[in-house]
Amino acid sequence: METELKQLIIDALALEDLSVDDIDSHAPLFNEGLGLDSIDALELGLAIRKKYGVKIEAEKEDVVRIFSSVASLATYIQSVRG
Amino acid sequence: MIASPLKDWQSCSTETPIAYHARHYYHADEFYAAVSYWVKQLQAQPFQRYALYTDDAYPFAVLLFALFHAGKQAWIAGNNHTGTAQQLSQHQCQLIGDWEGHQMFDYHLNSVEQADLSVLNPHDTRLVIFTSGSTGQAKPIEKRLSQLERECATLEAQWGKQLGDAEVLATVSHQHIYGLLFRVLWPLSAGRCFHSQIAMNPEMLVNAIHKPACWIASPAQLKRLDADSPWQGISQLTSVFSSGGALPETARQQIVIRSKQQVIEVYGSTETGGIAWRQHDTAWQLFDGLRLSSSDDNWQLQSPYIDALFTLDDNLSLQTDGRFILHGRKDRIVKIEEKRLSLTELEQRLTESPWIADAFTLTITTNRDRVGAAIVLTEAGSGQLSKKGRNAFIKQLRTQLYQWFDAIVLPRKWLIVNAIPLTTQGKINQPLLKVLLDTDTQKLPIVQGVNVTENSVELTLKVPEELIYFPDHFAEYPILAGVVQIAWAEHFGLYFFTIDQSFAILEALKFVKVIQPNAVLKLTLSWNDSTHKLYFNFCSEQGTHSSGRLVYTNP
Repeated sequence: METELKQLIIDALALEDLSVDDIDSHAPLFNEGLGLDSIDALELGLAIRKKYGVKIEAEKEDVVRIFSSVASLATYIQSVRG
Repeated sequence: MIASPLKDWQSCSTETPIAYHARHYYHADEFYAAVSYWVKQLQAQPFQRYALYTDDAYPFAVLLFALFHAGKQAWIAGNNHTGTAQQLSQHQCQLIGDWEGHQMFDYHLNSVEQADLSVLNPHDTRLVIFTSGSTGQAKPIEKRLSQLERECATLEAQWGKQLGDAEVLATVSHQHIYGLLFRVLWPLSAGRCFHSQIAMNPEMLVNAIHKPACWIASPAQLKRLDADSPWQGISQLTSVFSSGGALPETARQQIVIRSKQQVIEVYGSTETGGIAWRQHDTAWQLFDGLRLSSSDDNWQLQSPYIDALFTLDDNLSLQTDGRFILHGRKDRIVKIEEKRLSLTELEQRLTESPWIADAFTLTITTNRDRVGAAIVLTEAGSGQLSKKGRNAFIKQLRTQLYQWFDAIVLPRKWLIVNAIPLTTQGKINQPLLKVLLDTDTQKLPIVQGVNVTENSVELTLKVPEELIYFPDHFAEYPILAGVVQIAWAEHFGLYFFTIDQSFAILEALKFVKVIQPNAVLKLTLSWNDSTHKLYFNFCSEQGTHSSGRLVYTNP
């Protein structure tokens, strides 16, 4: 799941200077981590909805937590899909 | 609803809440108490200037009005990055609010303090907008409360009736002029309740609708709406506003079709505030009280929100009815998903790096706006590149730039060149750079580097996994077909050399080693002008993969 998500991130955001191995499952995705921005969050949210049918519609703090790393994103998607 | 001047906000109605923050409606008495608390705190401090940044809009309003009443200067920062904090410190600003790397800030929003807050003097009360980073050398832009009040009154006269008592929801930050006015100051002055938290996507925004509401949006959000967006909720909104850049026509149409909303677009800038608006139209209508005049190809704006005539950076054509059509920027300031970026400043920052000797940046617009950077490395840079590898090297460059710029505007495409390519007229060859930075990766390789010498060129190419040729060649064992290699050699050859003849035959073809997805290759091309032959050679760390000659003849 985590590897699949990393590939999704790379594909959805066209991060051609990154490979799956460059993304640490526990490193922050945004700002100083992987350097993603709010537009990326929006696009990643859309890509996740398309691929997994999971909508990210929590409160802001929760969204921040969900998007904090690949690992937390994977946990969230799995919990919603049950 | 009657707009009350911001200077006299204390007299505003007690029935309507001021803001919805952290699942609680805050009313005028609570706002007064929190402002009072901070006025006392601030007055006890010896500092004059404060750099204000908050994640949420309600605490922002509390601190802003406390700074006003304490007679301090409020500098409003575009972001909370450490580089911005450093710049503001150089302007003698004390940081206040949610700054990166600082402790959690306690806003004391439930204080019961009662200070005697007198009416503000709207001419002496000022704030400074400091949009750092993306405008390059960030310059402080001062606004008097009287000017902001005037603008709020104009907005209220224009749309107050339509909005009624709608709550104000937003997907834009209040730290920029548009959000500051539309999310905070206008609602405050009109007695409309604003939501403190920024919604991160349309779903969150729609979930926050408890009562009639409007949406302070931007094209970045609106153009990404799709069939699965929460249209039911969007259609319930009283109004949708958009500013920060033009809303693409396709996005506008989709919104009309799916939700019946006619988005109100606002054109303006940090320096000028709002200039004009449009709804369901290509032409822009100036706000009441503003005038445009032209002199020497420049358009000058006369506005009650600014002190002097302001020369616009945009090209426009004025219609006889006084409305106008916008034609885009004159200078090298571009907008990347609404963030203003000076390409000149980005290049300056790039060349400040000890690794970079020269740089040229441009925008690439596919499904989103991106910045591409062509860079020439210094000896130290080349050393770092071979030591760290390309991915880590670029990551570090991005980290260096992040001190100054928002992540959105940082280059996403990088091309390492031995010289910035010029046209025969000696101008930077932008078409060539665009072609190299923005190849269609379904059919062509990603170009990572270019080294041009007199009659040859060496390209560093990465073979994309998503090439349409791989699934059939072969499903179990994808390798790059020889014919595709030849096509690539010709594709790039035609960009770098003047080849007027037509292709005739292939010579001396050798396919030595297979090329697999994600391989990084060097393609060396050279052109012999007397024999009309284009030589190509694909090699990698594993040695030569293929080579050959394309022979051209005069028709």
